[in-house]
Amino acid sequence: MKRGVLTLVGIVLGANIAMTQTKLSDAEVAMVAVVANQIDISYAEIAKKKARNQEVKKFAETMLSDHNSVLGLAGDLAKKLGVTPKENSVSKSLLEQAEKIEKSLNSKRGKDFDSFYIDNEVAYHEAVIAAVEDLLIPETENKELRDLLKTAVPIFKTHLAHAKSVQAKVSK
Amino acid sequence: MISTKVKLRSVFLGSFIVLFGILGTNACGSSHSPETHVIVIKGLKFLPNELTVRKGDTVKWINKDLLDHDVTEEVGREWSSGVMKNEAIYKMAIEENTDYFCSLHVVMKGKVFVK
Repeated sequence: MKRGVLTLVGIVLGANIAMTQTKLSDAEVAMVAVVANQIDISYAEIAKKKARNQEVKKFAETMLSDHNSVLGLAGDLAKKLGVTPKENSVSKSLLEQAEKIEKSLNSKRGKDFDSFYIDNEVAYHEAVIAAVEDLLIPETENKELRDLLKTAVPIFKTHLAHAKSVQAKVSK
Repeated sequence: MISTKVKLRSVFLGSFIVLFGILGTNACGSSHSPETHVIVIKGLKFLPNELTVRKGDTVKWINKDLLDHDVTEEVGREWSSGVMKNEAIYKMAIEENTDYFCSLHVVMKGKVFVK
């Protein structure tokens, strides 16, 4: 399941960017960044209510706080730059995939829920880190937007390490 | 009347006590003035993440990240700063070696050693 989620998210992000054959504009990059954060916030809101394991619950609370902070920064920067995030095939694909994951999260309970949520968090953060580092940062023209994405990378990497430590405990 | 021998003995003993007191103080280092050391929280790291101080020194943690963090004793959660927002400061006098972490980002860890 873990590898399946990673493969799916990776394929969605990578394939969509490749398939567009055109560079993402800064407005489109901004939308992908906004959507990526909003998705993890929505997963965390479900987990905060449904998680049974206290470490999973605490992890979800951290995701809520941190991704809302990053979203706030992105919003402030977009206002400052006069950029309106623009919907695109990548952001749409992310949202379509997220809808499927949310359905799965809502259908699960107890330990199954905890395992599914944290496995998805590991896979999701791995895919987002790869997409930001390998695709979004190189595609971004505006230096401030690029700097914001670079600031987000250590946050996502810490989240990934945190998710893996919780995953190891949940799988015992 | 106090004999010269007794007087000399008293002076000798008194000097010995004063001298021993001075040497003892210097050897124990208890005349060291406590210092304040700074640990910056930035990029989801404690910088430096290992610090050596003298007993009684103060460590001051400053959150320079935009995210919330905290500083919590790791083993028994014996003390915690509580949530620290950006630019928040937490100070503590250090009496013994301590391992600490951020309970919001559990992989963020640090150590303070007492020399």
